[in-house]
Amino acid sequence: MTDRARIVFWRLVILVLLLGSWEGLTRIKAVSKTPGLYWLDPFFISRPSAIVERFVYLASDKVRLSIWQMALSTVQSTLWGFVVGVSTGFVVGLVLGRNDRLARIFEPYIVAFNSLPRIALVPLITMIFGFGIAAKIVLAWTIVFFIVFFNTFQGARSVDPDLIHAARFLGASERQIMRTVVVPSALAWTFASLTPSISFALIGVVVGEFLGGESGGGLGFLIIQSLGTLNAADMMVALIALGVIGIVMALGIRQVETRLLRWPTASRSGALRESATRRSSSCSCWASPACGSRGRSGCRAPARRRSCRSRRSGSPRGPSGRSRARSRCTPAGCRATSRRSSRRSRSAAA
Amino acid sequence: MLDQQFVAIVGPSGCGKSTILNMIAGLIAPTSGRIDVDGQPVAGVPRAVGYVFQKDTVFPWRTVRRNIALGLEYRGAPAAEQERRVREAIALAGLEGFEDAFPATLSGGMRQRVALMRTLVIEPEILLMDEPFGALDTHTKLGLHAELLSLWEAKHQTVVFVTHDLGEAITLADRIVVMTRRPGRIKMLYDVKLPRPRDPIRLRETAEYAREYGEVWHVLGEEFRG
Repeated sequence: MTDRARIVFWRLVILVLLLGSWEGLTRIKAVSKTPGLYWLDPFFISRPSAIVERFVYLASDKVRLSIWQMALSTVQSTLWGFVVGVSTGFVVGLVLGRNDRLARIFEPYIVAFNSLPRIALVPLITMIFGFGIAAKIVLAWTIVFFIVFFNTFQGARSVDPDLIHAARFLGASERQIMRTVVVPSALAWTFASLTPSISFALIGVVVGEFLGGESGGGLGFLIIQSLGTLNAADMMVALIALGVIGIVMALGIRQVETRLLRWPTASRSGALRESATRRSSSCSCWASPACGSRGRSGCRAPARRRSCRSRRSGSPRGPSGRSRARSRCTPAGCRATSRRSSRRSRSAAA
Repeated sequence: MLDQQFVAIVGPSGCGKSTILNMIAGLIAPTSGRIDVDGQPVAGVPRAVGYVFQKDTVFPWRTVRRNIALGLEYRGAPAAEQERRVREAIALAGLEGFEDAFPATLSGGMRQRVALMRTLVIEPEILLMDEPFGALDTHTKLGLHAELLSLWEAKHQTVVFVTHDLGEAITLADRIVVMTRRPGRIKMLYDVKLPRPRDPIRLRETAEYAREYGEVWHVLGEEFRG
C-alpha cells in the first residue's frame, strides 16, 4: 500500500468509527432510573440515519424551499460578496499601497472600521438593505474587502524597489511600472488572501442569513428555522451542506490561484527557509487588525515572495523608509520557500 | 571618461563605487559637484542609459522572452520588431530553448544573461553595470566575460563596470579607476594595455595579464591593508 493510500485508508476508518459510534450511542438506552435516556441524546445531536432521512426529504420537492435552492442562494451571495470584496479591496489596496500620503490619511478610519466586529453590523445592514440577498452580500463584502485590502496593500508596498528601478531604466512610464511591476508583484499577495476570503465571505453570508428571514433564504435560514422547531437533524443537514460548500469553494479558489499565478517558485537559500519557519507564526501587518487581534488569517502573504525582510532588522528596504508601527508584513512573506512551510503557517494563522 | 570606452571601477567595499554609478544613472543626486553625460548635467533617469544590477532583477512573472522584450514594449516598438530583436538577443545570449521558461527555473548565470540582454536589446549608448557577475561562481563568470566582451566588441557602447574583482576589471576594461577606502576618492587611473580581442580564460595565463594585475594590485592592496 502506498503512503497516500494508507493515509486515505485511516481517514476512512476514522470516519466510519465516528459515524458508527454516533449512530450506535444515540440508539443505546442508558442504564438509568430515568426512563428513555440514551447514551447520547439524539434530540440534541440527531443521528446519521435521521440526518440522511431529513436530507432526502429536504432535497425532495415536498418542501416549499428545497435544500438545493437554499444552497444555491448561499453560494450565490457568497460568490457575489467575494467578487465585490476582492475587486474593491484590490483596487483600494493598490492605490493606498502606492500612495503613502493617502495611506496615512485613511489609516485610522480603516483600522477603526476593521476593528468593528462585523456581526454587530448585521442589524444595521439588514435595516438598510432589507431582508434580501443584498444585505448578505454587503456583509460578506465588509469582511472580504479588508482581508484583500490589507494583503494587496502590503504587496503593493513591498514591491522590490530594484525591480522598479530596472523597469525605469528600460524606459517604463509610471503607468507601465504600475502595470508590469506593481500589479504582478502585488497579485501574489492578493492571491494568498483569496482562500481565507472565500471562507470569510461564507461566514458573512451565513450570519446575514440568520437574520435575513425566508426572503433571504439560504442555509443560514435553515439553521435558524431548525432552531425554532428544535430540529437537530435539519440543522445537521445545513451544517454538512455548508461544510461541503466551503471545501468546494476553497478548492476552486486554489485551482484558480495556481492557474493564474503560474510562474513557478524557486526554493531559495537554506537560511531563508529557516527564517521563514521561525517567523511564520507571528503575523502582523499594518497595525495588525486583520489578523492579530481576532485571529483572522487576514494577513497572509504569498508563498512566492522572493525576498525576505525581517521586521526586527529595522532596515526596511521599501521605496521610502517607513519605520513606524506599520511593520512590514513579512512573516508570512518570508515563509515562502516551500509549499510545506507555507501550509504550516497557514494553519498557524488560522 | 571617453566615449565608447570600457571603464571599470574597483575599490574596497563601501568606497562609493555603486554610488558613482547611481549618480551617473540619475538615481541619486551628488551632494556637491555635477555629473555630465554627453555634456549635459544628469537630471532624472536618462533614456540612453542601460543599467544591469548586481541583484537579480529579472521579473519572475515573465518568461525569458517577455523579460527581454520589456524595454521594447515600454517604448512601444511594433510587435514584429519586438519579436525579431528578442529572437536575435536570445540567440546572441545562447538562450535558445528557454524562451518560454520562467526565471525561477533558470540558473543564476542564465538569469543574469537575461538581464544583460534585456538591457542590451534597447541599445543603450551607455551601459552601467553594478557588479553584474558578483553573485556568480567563477566558472559561470568567465563564460559571461567572454560573452560580454564579444557583445561589446561588436557594438562598442560606453561601459562603466563596477566590480570588486580586479581580475574581472583587467579582463574586460580599457581603463581602470582605482578608488580609495571611505571616503572614496579616485586614487589612480590605469589604462589596461592588453590587446583586443581578449579571451578571458587564455588571457589569465599570459605574462602581460600578470604584470598588469601586479601593478594595479600593488596600488589597490594599499587600500586593503588598512
